[in-house]
Formats: sequence, structure tokens, C-alpha cells
Amino acid sequence: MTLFDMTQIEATQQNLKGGKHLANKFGKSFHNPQVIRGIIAGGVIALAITAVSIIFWGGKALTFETIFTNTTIGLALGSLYAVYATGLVVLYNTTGVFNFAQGAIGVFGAFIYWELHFNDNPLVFRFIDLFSITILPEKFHLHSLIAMPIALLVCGAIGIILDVLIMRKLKETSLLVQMLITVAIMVLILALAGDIWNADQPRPFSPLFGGSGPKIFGATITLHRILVFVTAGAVAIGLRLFLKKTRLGIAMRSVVDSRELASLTGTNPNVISSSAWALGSMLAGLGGILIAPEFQTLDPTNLNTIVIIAFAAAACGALRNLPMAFIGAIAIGLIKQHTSIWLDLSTDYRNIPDAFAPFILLVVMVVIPDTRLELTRIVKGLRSRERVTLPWEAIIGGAMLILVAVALSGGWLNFGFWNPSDWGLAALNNSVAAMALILIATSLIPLTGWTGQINLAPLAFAGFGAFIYTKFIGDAAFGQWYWLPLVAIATAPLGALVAITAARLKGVYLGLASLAFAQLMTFLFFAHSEITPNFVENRQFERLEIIWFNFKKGFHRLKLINDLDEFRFLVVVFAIVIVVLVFLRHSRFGRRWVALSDSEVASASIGVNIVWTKVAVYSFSAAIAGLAGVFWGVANTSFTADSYDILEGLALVLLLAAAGASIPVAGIFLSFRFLISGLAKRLADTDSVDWLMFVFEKLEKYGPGLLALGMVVNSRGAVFRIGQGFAQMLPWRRDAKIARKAEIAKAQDPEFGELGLEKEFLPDKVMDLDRRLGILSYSVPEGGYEILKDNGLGKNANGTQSKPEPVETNTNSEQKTDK
Amino acid sequence: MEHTNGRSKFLNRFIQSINGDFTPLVFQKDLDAMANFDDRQFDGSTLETTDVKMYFGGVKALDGASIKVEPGKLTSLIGPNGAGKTTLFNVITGFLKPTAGQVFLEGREITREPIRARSKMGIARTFQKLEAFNTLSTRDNILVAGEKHNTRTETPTKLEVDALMEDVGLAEYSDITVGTLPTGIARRVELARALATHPRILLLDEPSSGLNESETEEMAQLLSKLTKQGLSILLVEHDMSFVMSVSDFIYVLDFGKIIAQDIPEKIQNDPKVRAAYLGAH
Ligand SMILES: Nc1ncnc2c1ncn2[C@@H]1O[C@H](COP(=O)(O)OP(=O)(O)OP(=O)(O)O)[C@@H](O)[C@H]1O
Ligand SMILES: [Mg+2]
Repeated sequence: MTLFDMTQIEATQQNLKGGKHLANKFGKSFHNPQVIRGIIAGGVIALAITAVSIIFWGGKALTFETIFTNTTIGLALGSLYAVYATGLVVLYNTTGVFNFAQGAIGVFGAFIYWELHFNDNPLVFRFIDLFSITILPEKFHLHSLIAMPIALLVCGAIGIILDVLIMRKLKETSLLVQMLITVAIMVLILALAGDIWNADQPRPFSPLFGGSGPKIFGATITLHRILVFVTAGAVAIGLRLFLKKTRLGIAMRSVVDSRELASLTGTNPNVISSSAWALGSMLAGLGGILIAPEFQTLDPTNLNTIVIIAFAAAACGALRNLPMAFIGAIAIGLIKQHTSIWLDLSTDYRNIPDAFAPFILLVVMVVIPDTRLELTRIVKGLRSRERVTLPWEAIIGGAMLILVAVALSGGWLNFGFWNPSDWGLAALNNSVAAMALILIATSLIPLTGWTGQINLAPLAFAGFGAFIYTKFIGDAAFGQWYWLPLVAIATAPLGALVAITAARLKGVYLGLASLAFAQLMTFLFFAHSEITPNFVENRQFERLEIIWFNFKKGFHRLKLINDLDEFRFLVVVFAIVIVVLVFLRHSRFGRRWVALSDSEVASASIGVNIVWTKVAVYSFSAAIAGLAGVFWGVANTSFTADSYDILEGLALVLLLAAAGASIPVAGIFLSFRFLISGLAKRLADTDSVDWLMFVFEKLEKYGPGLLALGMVVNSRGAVFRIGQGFAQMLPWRRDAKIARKAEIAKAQDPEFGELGLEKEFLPDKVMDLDRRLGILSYSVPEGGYEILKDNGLGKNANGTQSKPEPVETNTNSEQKTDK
Repeated sequence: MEHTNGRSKFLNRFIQSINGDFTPLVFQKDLDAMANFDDRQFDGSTLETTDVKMYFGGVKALDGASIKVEPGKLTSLIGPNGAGKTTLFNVITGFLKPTAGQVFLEGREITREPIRARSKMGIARTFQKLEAFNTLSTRDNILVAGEKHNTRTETPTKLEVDALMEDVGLAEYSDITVGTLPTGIARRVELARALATHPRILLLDEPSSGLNESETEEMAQLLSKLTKQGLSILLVEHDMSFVMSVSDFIYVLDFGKIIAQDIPEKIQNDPKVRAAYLGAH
């Protein structure tokens, strides 16, 4: 939990005690300081709009007709964003989960609708055709009034399935894991949609009512847009009524505060969270269907970009406030439409209208404080010894890694199937790319794994490093190795900048801010021809010249002329980085970083400077990422913005998280992806079995998402598990053997060793619990009077408390009973 | 802790560091200095708040609270739920900036100092809702705090941490991840962490919550020992028998105001206090 919500949490605990918990939710969260902050955020955004307008003004005549037309278009767009955003806000309020997959679910809804309404040969028919049954008509289109509800129901069903199969199992895990899981769901749904409806086929998606509509003030307002506006308004008002007036709605609002409390009111929390997921997903579907006509053709990736706008809108309501989110959405729609009309933008600045959404998201996230109540969740576990890789283990491990890699790539170790000459250039290039990505992922280990700072923009840092290299060093110095530290040093300030702006953020807020940052970098920085001149002069990555060692020549200069050399060099760099990381983890810095991630409040109380600590770790992480970005560029041979794309970055983060972000070597896990694509390429060369190719292709596509879902089972990551298995076999790791035994014992008896209680529940403990819950009153010794122990359940004059006995609390954990 | 056994200093240092131990080498004189850790003395300081007000919108969490903690004394702050006790802690430690009023440490005004500066001056605290570093081991929890306040003089932090763990009864848990420890022990970790910052005044927010009777008893003994060693303590506690047995002086807070202040025996029989607790206004 952050420093900044501590007081809030205590306040809320107070409110819970007084039973005021419902009054303080929804809508009323804006007391004074927040209004001021809102004004600051608004001011910054207004300033940016003004500045951009002055600089890029296109000089078009301001006629009433154009203004009117574009305002209506902007309003319609805004209403669509609002539909998405309200879904996000409702879900967040109810389950505490911010659903990154919202856009992807919308994509799915739009495609289902397209299948039912537009497609001549819908999916269901194609499926039935597989069994060569021909009772069906040639063409079949459902009326939109039938197709729409069906599509929405499918979306609702997806929501419920997600809740039941995945999200419900995550109650005990950290919010970070929950967020990453929704990112994984997004990646998976998009991949699936891309597979079912491949992007090559054009899919026209005409607006409802065929684009006709009344003429007002000389401009045609399509009925579709009017309908959109009305729908959004109806949704907003309907939701408000639903949440304020209906039993389910009120229960939904209370459940996020306390599941136990909600269940006391007689509503099943599972029903509530499923309803929220269904509702949120249906809203996503509705948004997707209505917005699709705004695109030329239906394309999953394109359609998904809406989601960042929806995030920005939700952010305007601090993720919780429906009316503000609605207003934010409308504002973004208007800004986007008007800037794209009135401004005269060269290709370098073509993305400015789109860049306003991530800009607003970033500003709001940074200015509006974290009001989310992130109670420190105790992830239950066995009483376990802390075991961090020791430096000597890392040194030996790193040396072995280098030996094996050099031996394999040099052909000294020849397994027949693994002969580099045989493998071909493509596979080697793959290995270089893999090593570069592994390094980028490794940059997240101190940042995310240890300090708990989620960063969804690792490739933005990498891209910046690559930019520095191509722009200033690659050309001038012909890639001397000693320029590399300069890249690292130049990238570090970018990290520091992010750290300073995001110092107050945590969890979802930080995730969103980093995503907005990545999007801004893509839209404005990488899209600029000065920065990525690939179309103009195809700036190449000059290969490095390094100092190398071998037994024949001793130390000598070596130009990395091919991928083989490059690969070996990268393995050495990786090994060094790992050893440095392990040393760091054992130093006072490493300890302080982990402590910061565990509790900012406590860190501050012992005198840690939170902001500087974050600046240090962000800079360090950015430096590694910048360095790795150069190698990533080398592997791709030229510098293009696509190589630093956001989705690619998300896949990276997911894979790392699935592997276990706090383990220094976890990055190696990423190589599996390249192993797969390497194998696939090799198979393609030798022209062997098609189905195997197919399997590999799918594995590569769905692997990251599916592996990340593995966190549902083990939130500490796969490498941790595998590592534990290995560790048992090492003679000096007695601790691992003991831990393993305890785990087996626990698997057989779930109550074994829960929080060290070891099933002992002595009478005095029970009494003490009762006492603390105010069930008994007791007297002050030495002739004092009776003082009612009032702790948590309100004052009661006669000392008898009519409160259900805390059965659950007793058996699970002591932690819950302390307030 | 091993000391140099005739091996070269550098070899020792190397072996130590590849084993993940980056503390300076330990010499006999350090060990001698540490030998009587139990007899350590704290340089307890005076803490005073004058007329502190803290308003949250319309809520007057504190409405003119003045208290004084004498050096080497255990002063308690009691009051019903929502009286403003934790808020006063937050004001004293710098987590909240008061609407009005001042905080003095050793006569020096610190009302506007940042949290970490106050920590350097010797204010340490624990939290009502346990805030341990859950993924670190007990030793590391304490070490993090010690390192921040290591004066780099004679005593290496690591030794001090070992001694502290012994003192607070945590030696057997030194390598266990704190998040997996029972609350009672984790509370002690939090206390040891606060002590590792070389405090001059210690603020404890309900240290007995989550503890059973015998653990509470041990906690009381520990606190008495600390005050004997010269530490000033400000205690917030709901457990009345605990408060009455350890306190030198008690303040009673209700609705943000001090309604009574006296020695324990007097407080016990004060009708105002009784009224506040029973909610009979
Ligand atoms: N950040 C905040 N914003 C708004 N109100 C707050 C905030 N912090 C505390 N309060 C309010 O101030 C009052 C005092 O709270 P405080 O936590 O200091 O009480 P307390 O005496 O510590 O109670 P307890 O014995 O339950 O711990 C309460 O009414 C609480 O709701
Ligand atoms: Mg309190």
C-alpha cells in the first residue's frame, strides 16, 4: 500500500465500523483537495490543447456548419468511449479489478455482431458445413435487433466465464497479479479474434439505418450517431439508477469494501462479481458494435486501440466516478474530432489527435492521487525461509551459461540436430533477438520484481536507447563498445523522469500511467521521421567492436561481424547483468527496494526517501533497457517504430511475470518463444509436417498469454517452481528439501501450517479473539470499573454484542482479526 | 559472527561477499563493544504537541490536542474508537500536516519536517495495522532500518541486528519470511525494526492487537525494559490492564480533545473517562 492511501484506509476502517461505508462511495469522493487537483489537471490539458492549436492551426474557415457537424461527430464518438468507460468503472467499483481486456471483449462483440448481421456465411454455418449438412439457406442475415442482443449476451457470457474460471481464483493474490492477468486475457482474446477473423479479408461494417438521417443546420446527422448518443445517455442514467436503487446494485457497491460485510447483507459475493463482469463485458460489446462503423474495416488490433481512450475517460472519474468518466469521454471525443479537423499536421505529427487520450490519461493519473484502497494483502503461505540466490551461485551459474552457449553455438557440442551451420542464419538471428529481449525483460526485475513498480512500457525505454545509439553513436563512432555505457547513461534520465512523475502511483494507476507513456512515445516520439528515419534513409545499426578473449589470441579487438559473434557477446553481457543483479539484491539497495515494495508507509517511517529510491531503481532499470534496446535493434538490423510496439512490450511483461519477476534469471524463460519460432523456421526449411508448423505457430501466438494465466495457479511464477525443484537436488540446499517436504505435507492437509498456527487453537487464543471482537467484556484489575473493549464493532453500552461469531476469521488467519 | 582467524583480510572479505554478506569485517573490539548490548542506553527525548488541530473536511479528527512525553517515561494515549489517536501519531511522525498547532521534539519545532527527517531525529513508530516488510526475512526487516541509520562508527549494523533480535526474542525467526509469521511475532519484528533506527522516542499504535495474553505480557515487560534503558515511549492501546500496568502517565482523548490527563490510578476512577468509554454523553 502506498504512503498516500494510508490515512484513507484508516478512515475507511472507521467508516466501516460505523456502518457508514455505503455513504462514502460513488460520486462523493471528490472533497476539496481533489477538486483542486482536478482543476490543475484540467488546466494542464487545456494548456496543451491551446499550445497545439496555436502551433498547428490550419487556417480553415470557421463556418457554423463545420463546427456543428464536427461537434455532433465528436459527441457521438465521445458517447461511444463513454459506454466502454462506464463498463470499466462499474467493474472496478465492484470487484476492484481494472479490466485491461475491456477493449478486446468489445472487439469480440463487434465481430460476433458482424457474423450474425453482415456476413453472408456466418461462423455457425461454416461450422455446420464442416459436417456437410446442407439444409441451410444460401445467405442468412439476422436483423440487427436480434443480432445485437445475441452478441451482447455472448459478451456477457464471456464476462461470467472469465470471472468464474479465472478472476475468482485470484482473490488472494496481489492486485499486480490481477492486473497482469487481465492483460493476459486481452492478449489472448485479441489473438483468438485475429485467428478466427483474419485481418486480410475486408469486413465492411455499415452504420445502422444505412447512414441516413435528418438534416439540421445544413448538416446531415446520421441516425446511427443520434442513436449512439441516446444509447450512451440511457446507459449512464440506467446504471446510476441500477446502482442506487436496486438491491443488486447496492450490494455491488458494498462488495468491494468488504466481501464479508456484503455477505452479511445476504447477497452472495460471487453472484455480485459475476454480475459485474457480465455487465461490464456487455457494455464493452455494445461499445464495440456501435463504434465499428467508424473504422474502414473491422480489424481486431485497430478496434482495440479504443481501449486506451476508454482508460483515459475512466481516469477522468478517478476510475470510480461514473458521471465524471462520462464527461471525460465526451471531452476526449470532442478534442479528437476537432483537432483532426482544424489542425494542419505534417506526417511527423499526424498522431496528435490520437495522442490526446494517452496524454490525458497520463496527466490525470499523475495529478489525481491514488484514492484506491490497496490494503496490503497477506498472501498466505507456509512459514518459509527467505532464500535469495547467493553471489557465488550466480557467478558459477553465469560462467556455466557462457560455456554452454559458446559451446553450442561453436559446434563443439554437437547433438546432431543442434549444429549451428545446420541451423542456418535465421535461427541464429532469432537467438540474438531472443537474447536482446531477455535483457529487456531482465531490466524489469529490479523495477517490477523487487520494487513492485509495474512498468508496461519496457520497450519505450529500449527504443529510446536504440534511438540514442543510432542518432549519436552508431554513425559517428562505428560502434565501439565503449560507447555503450553512454547509451545506458543517456537512457537513465528518462527512467528518472518517469519515476519523479509517477512517484506517488502504485498498482493499477502506475500500470495505466506507464501504458499511457508507452502510447505517447509511439504516437509522438517514434512516429517522428527525425527519430525513426526508416522510410527516409533506413538507418542501420552499426555492429559493435568489442574486446574479446580467446586462448589463441588472448585479449583482442573483435568486430561482431555476424550473428554468431553477436550471440556470444550477448550471452556474456547477460551473465554479467545477472551477477550484478544478484550482488545488488544482497546489498542495502536491494533490500531497501524490496522493503519499499512491501510497504511504502513503513519504509518512510524508518527514514527512507521514497522518491529518490524510486528514481534510483527506475534509472537503473531504464539504463539496462536502453542498452538492451541497442541489441534488439541490431537483431532487427534497422530502427523502426514497430520493433518497439506496445503489444510486443506487453507480451514481454507477461512472460516475465509468468516466469517470476523477482528471480534474476527469469528472463531466460523468454527464450522459449524464440526456440519455438526457431524450430518452426527450421521445419519450414526442411519442409516437414504441416500440423507441427501449425502447432508451433499457435504456441508462439498464445504462449505468453496462456503462460501468464499460469499465475492463477502459482502467482510467484514458473521459474520459482522449477528452481525449487532443481534446488532440492543441490547438496548445499537443505532448505529447499525442507520447503518441498512442507509443501507436500500442506497439499495433503490444507490446514497444515497456515500462517504458523499449525492447527493449534488453544483456549486462550479463542478467548483473546473473543475479547478483541468485543464479545466479552472484562474488568480492569485493582478495583477499577468495567470498560467495554470496543474494537471494530461499534459501541455498545451493556457489553453484549449481537454479532455473528467470526468463524471464518478463526480458522484462517490471525491477520484478519487485527484491525 | 566469525572474525578474522588469521586469513588475509581480503580473502575473508571475498568469501564473505560471495556469500551475500556485504557488511564490514568484524573485529574483536566490535565484539567487545557489543558484549553488553542488554545494558544499552537510549537517549530519550521530550516530545510535545501544542494545540494540534487536524480537520478532514468537516471531520475534526483532532481539535486542540496538547500532550507531552517526558524523556525515559512511558506515556499512554487512550480513548474510544475514532477519538483521533492514530491521527495524532500521524501528525507527530509527519504522515499528516496538521491544520493548526505545533509539534516539538526536544524543544525544537518539527511540525513541517518531512517524515524521513523526523526519523533521523529519533522518532520511530509502529502501525495499528501491521506494516512489516512481508517478503523480507526478519533479519532483513531490521537490517533495512539499521542501515538507514548506520552512523558508520564502531558497531557494524549486522551485529547490532543480531543483538536486537536476541533482545526482542526473534532470534529463532531470523531467516523466516515475515509475511509467513504469526501476527504476534510479526508485531515484534515491527517493534525491533523501529528500535533499529536508534530512536529517542518510540510511538506504538496498539502493539497488543493480534497478540494473545502471554504475548501481551511479554510485550509489557519489553516496554518496561526499554523505558528503564531511557527510551521515551508514547503508547496507544485499547487493552486497559496493559495500559494501567505499564504507563507512567496517561492522556485520554475523545473527539479530538484531551479530556483527562493523569497518572494511571487517577485515570481509572475518573468519571469523565468512564463516560467517554461508555458513550454516555
Ligand atoms: N484521512 C482521513 N480522511 C478523513 N477522515 C479521517 C482521516 N483519517 C482519520 N479520519 C477520521 O478522524 C477520526 C479519528 O480517527 P483515528 O484513526 O485517529 O482514530 P483512533 O483514535 O485511532 O481510533 P481507533 O481506536 O479505532 O484506532 C475518525 O473519525 C476518522 O474517520
Ligand atoms: Mg487508531
